[in-house]
Amino acid sequence: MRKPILGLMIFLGAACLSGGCESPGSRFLAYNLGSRSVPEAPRVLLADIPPPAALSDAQAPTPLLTVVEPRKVVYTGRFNVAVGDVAASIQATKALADKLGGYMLRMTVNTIVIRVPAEKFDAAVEAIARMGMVIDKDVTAQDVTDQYLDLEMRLKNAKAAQQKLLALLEKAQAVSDTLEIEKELQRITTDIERLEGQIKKLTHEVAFSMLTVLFNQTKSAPAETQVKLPFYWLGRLGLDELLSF
Amino acid sequence: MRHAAITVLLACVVLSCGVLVGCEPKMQMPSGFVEVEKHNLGPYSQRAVSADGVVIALRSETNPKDATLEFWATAVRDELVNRRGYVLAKEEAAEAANGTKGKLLTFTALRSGAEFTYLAAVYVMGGQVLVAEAGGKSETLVHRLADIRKALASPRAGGI
Repeated sequence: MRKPILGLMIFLGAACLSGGCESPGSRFLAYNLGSRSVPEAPRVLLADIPPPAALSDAQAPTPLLTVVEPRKVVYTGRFNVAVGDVAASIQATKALADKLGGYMLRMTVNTIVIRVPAEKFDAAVEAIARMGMVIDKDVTAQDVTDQYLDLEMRLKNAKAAQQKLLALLEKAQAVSDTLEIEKELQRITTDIERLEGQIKKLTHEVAFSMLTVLFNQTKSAPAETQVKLPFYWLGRLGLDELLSF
Repeated sequence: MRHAAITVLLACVVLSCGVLVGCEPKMQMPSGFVEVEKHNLGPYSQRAVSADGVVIALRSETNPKDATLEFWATAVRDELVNRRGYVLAKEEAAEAANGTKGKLLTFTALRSGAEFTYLAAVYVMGGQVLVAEAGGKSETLVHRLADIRKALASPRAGGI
């Protein structure tokens, strides 16, 4: 009887560990059988348990490896575009996001941040490039597959620990035991919600690429009469000469 | 005696080659660009074109009054903006591979309803004004912008 319960304690401890038990006050649940006269009412105590490092590999649960295909990549783009009409370009970018099935995240006088479906990222980049002259462009792809797998694993372990605690709660008879288990359940539930939130956020970032566009007003000056400098070659600068063969 | 004569002759040949090679200012063209033949050089000392119509060229002019970089950058900008109606999109500091400071000017201009981009990098080195130019349709050029900017920062003066 003692061995299975000890094993369960160790499993819960390891599950809590991998489930992200990071709060300073968190401790492992332990059973003290106490008097042999009440073997069916295990007493739950926050006892002195060996530190996590003391758990041998054999004792720690071996999580199953989850294979996620394809790899999860977060695409992000930053553009600096010179345009003739900044306000119109901002509105055009907002309309572009809507058209591609995305949405506007935030907007200032000359900057707009949008999210577009990842599969429409290239189309969005090309459309923005056509709005004016791209001065600077920075597109990054961040592989978050490992981070995603880690979160999934921690969530799975936390849920397993939650189920075990629920089972223990049903068996607990002493009020103090019930209180201790409920306290631990509440903490694990919070962990689960946090992990689920992180996974949801990451999934969204993978599904919707973020594009930040800073529009600059082009410095336009009307052609005007000006003293022609006595350097003939200045008059041969420009596209006409360059692109003519 | 004969050995010495050969040595002197070889030294002369090497020196001559160095002079010839160093006469023309040069820049490093990006991959995907093909240098044009001599009869297509026009006023440029070097000129290359990509298959999709972006052109990069280098011109070298004497700097008769030892004018400063600021002088030429202003002259180029004013010529294109005030006299030709180009739109100045950006003006930034540039630096050639040998450390010479320069100015990189980026312009846009409309041609037949399409937007074109024109870049001019101005350097003053070795008694010469070097202008490295690049131009093409904006939507084409933008895909090669990083390579083009790198090329425009690669000129070196010719002559000895």
